[in-house]
Amino acid sequence: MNDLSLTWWEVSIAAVLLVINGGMSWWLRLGLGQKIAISAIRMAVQLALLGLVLKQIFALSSFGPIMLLATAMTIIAGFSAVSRIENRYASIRITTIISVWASSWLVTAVMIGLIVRPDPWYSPQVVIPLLGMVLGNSLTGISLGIDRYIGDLKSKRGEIEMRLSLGATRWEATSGVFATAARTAMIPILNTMSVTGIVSIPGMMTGQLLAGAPPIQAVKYQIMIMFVIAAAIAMGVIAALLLSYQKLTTKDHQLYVK
Amino acid sequence: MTFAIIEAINVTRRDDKTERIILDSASLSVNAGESVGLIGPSGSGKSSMLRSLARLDPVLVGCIRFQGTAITGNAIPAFRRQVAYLSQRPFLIEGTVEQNVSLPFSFASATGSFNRQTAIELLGVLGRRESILDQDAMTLSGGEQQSVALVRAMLIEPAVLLLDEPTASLDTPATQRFENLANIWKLADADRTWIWTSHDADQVARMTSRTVQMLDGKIVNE
Repeated sequence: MNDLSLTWWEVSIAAVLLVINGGMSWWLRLGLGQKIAISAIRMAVQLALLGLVLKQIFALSSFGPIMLLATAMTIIAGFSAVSRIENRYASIRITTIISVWASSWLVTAVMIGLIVRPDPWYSPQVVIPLLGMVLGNSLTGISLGIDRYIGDLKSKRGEIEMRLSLGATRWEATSGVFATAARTAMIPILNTMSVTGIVSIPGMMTGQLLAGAPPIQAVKYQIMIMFVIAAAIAMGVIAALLLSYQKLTTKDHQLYVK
Repeated sequence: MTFAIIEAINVTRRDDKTERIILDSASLSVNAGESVGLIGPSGSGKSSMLRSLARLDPVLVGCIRFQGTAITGNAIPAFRRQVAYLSQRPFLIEGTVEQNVSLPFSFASATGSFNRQTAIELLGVLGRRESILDQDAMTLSGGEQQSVALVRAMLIEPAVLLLDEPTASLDTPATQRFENLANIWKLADADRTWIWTSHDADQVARMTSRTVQMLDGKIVNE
């Protein structure tokens, strides 16, 4: 088995490629130089910090700090879901945090308790990366779904109120919009599932192969994580849309979007 | 015997966005069988009054009573079949005219079932044949769409019709057809009640017998 671990010196060779890009941008006056520099430095600093945090937490390997990190990751995911939503309402952060939390932690619990079964069960090397992957995908689905839902409630207000004024319940009047939003949120993961392995080898599988795992083992992990991610997105989106529905319609069967 | 079929009692409502008061302790009582015209300048609260009567907007203070009972919560869908609101702009769903006029019968609150024959008879006012039921609703003219919306409301046999400037964007012949259609509903039963808002004084005179004036969210004059 080759030793494939990298030194910082080796990483900097990759950085030179980016510097060449920056030079070309300057030469062609694309105005991208500054953006490339900022994004690259930001990414490097964020990941370096993450590495330090993970190093500490892996070394401690005790329950409290792992839970604290997992909680922090979840709340950040809830907030960043909102930042991608153009159409908002007052308590939207509560909606995204609850739905990201419930869906991601539930499927991660299933993954850890029934599928991967690390020992101890809270092993940070397993829990943190798996939770991170689920969170990242779940928040994308949730923000897509909510954005479409609120946008459609606004743009189809006349039609929805027409249904209400002819005796529809708030659910009957808005269920079409709900279904469209849920479908919209699921499209990216469905697309990913159908092209995975044809166009590219997914990141997690690449990582396992580089780490020397047998291909079939890496494939099993990748399939499992795809199933779990799709389930987390579906659950998170439905929770987020149901909470939004409660907020944007009233018990008096009225539409309440500003 | 006359009785109040629908009442707004001290209704106050703010605009959701601007917080401006759009209905200011407005009260209106309408007896069964009455024909009420609600008039006033733009922004005086006519449309908000009709929407509040249909319970489409949350009210800050006050209540809406139907046959003496305040209407809230899950009583509202069935109530809205009794007090049908027609908006200025007709909203039709994609599909045929038949899919549109039968739509209210797909809701859980439906009591009767869709009567195709009645729909054909009512749509006859438009001077078309039976085939209009199979026509794509989106290909109808604005006037025809508004009449289809009225027929859709008539088919659920409400006790009260709330008409929010229904002919504001129609030409004279289309307005006339719309009024004829509305009269078919009104004259079929002496207890049928309507409230019209309109900028057209002649229409108010033709279609209503009691005029209520609004200004700045208040009822100022009867």
